[in-house]
Amino acid sequence: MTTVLSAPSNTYLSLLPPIIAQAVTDATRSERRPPREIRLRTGQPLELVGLSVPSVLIVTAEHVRHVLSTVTGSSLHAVEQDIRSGFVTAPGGHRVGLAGRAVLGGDGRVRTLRDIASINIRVAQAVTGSCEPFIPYLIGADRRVVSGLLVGAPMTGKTTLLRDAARILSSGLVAKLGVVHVVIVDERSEIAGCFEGVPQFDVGPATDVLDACPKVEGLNMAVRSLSPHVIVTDELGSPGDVQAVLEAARAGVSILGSVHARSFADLHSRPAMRDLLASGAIDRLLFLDSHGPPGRLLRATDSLGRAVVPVCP
Amino acid sequence: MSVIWMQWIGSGSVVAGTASLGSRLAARYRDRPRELRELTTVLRALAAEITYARTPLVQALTRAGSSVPRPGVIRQFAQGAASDLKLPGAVLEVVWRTRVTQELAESSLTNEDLEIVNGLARTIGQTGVEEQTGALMAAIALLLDREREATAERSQYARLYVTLGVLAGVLIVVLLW
Repeated sequence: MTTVLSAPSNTYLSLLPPIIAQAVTDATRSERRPPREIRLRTGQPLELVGLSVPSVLIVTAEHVRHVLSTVTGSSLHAVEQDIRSGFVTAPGGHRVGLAGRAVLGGDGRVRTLRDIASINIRVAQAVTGSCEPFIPYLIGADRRVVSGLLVGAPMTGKTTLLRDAARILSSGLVAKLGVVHVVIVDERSEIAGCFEGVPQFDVGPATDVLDACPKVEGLNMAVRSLSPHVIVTDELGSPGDVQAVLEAARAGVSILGSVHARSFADLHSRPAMRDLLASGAIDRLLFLDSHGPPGRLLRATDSLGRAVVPVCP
Repeated sequence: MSVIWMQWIGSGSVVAGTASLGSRLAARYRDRPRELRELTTVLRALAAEITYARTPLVQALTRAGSSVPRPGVIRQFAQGAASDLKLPGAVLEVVWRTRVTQELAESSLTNEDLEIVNGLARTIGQTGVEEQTGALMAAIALLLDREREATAERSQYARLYVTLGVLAGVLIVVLLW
């Protein structure tokens, strides 16, 4: 049974100007669930993705300024690196996308954004139990967790599932596995939503979080000193990530990660991913359904794309 | 006999009263250059933190505050703003303006000085690095000009008010005697 909990103590409400926070609270109460995304566009009505009632509140430039300040901790200059990669993570683990006018640096690449006119807050949710259907596919023959990748388009619930997987494994809820030591390498502070180093989401009692730690270094640090059974990390993609995953796999640690892709063919079209799959370090690919509600398993395959059947937990 | 004594005591307290009034007025001229200097120190430290280290503002403000050599209203201003900014949902523009009216208004700075500081409320932390540095440098330049003026005024008026205070007391005493 899955229960949608709103993010830890509704941290996203404190990011919003009072009038918008009130509108979101009212909508959440009348539909009994939090929005998946809060989208603010200057001059347009407030959009609450995931709720059916349209909002009539028109977002002003002042509202956008306010949210920009709260999500960046009033330090736009400190998050330019994040803006370049497309989004910033607000306190509470909410991913915030920004759109505005790009400022180019001397090398012709985007340096930062200015005149930011629209903001998309993706509300981080703890959906307790959402990963339960996935767990049987992650148990190997030798009663160990195997390495797996959650593969899905944006907004298919990858991060939410990883969070729940960490909770289930480290709580010892899977009888065959017992308590599994989990390390979350949380480069964007999204999985555990750490505030001052303490996870704000329930990620299980036997979970250590390397918060805001770059993936490559974090994977190495975890293997060296934290002796995990499983390392959970988000958005693998670069060749550096793949190298670090291979390194960890050689050390006998299982990896649970996520990848942006729609299909097996998509995965294979990316050289880094192709290398990763060919290396045999990944045992399971869990494809997510991009239609319908988020967090649904479409099919599970091995690293060659052959369908697999789950082990009874 | 006792009447004469009473007259002396009365005159003494009148002079002391007007003299203290004079020195209080003089204090405003005396402290303002130092406070302006401390303010430029804070803004300069802030500019360095933002430009070179890209430090988040909470830290940048704390460090800028401790760059002021002695505790006082200016250090209090920077560190107070930093601690306000830590609260969830805090916005620099509001925090900055509140601290200006709460803390800096208590200082010897004039309203025009405070306007320069308030002018930064919509820039710091909300624009790109270059705009922020530019705005901070412009504010620093203005404050330096005002510091020069304030130093000139101090040597003119600080003594003047002290002397005026004493003389006014003496005048009252002479008239009443």
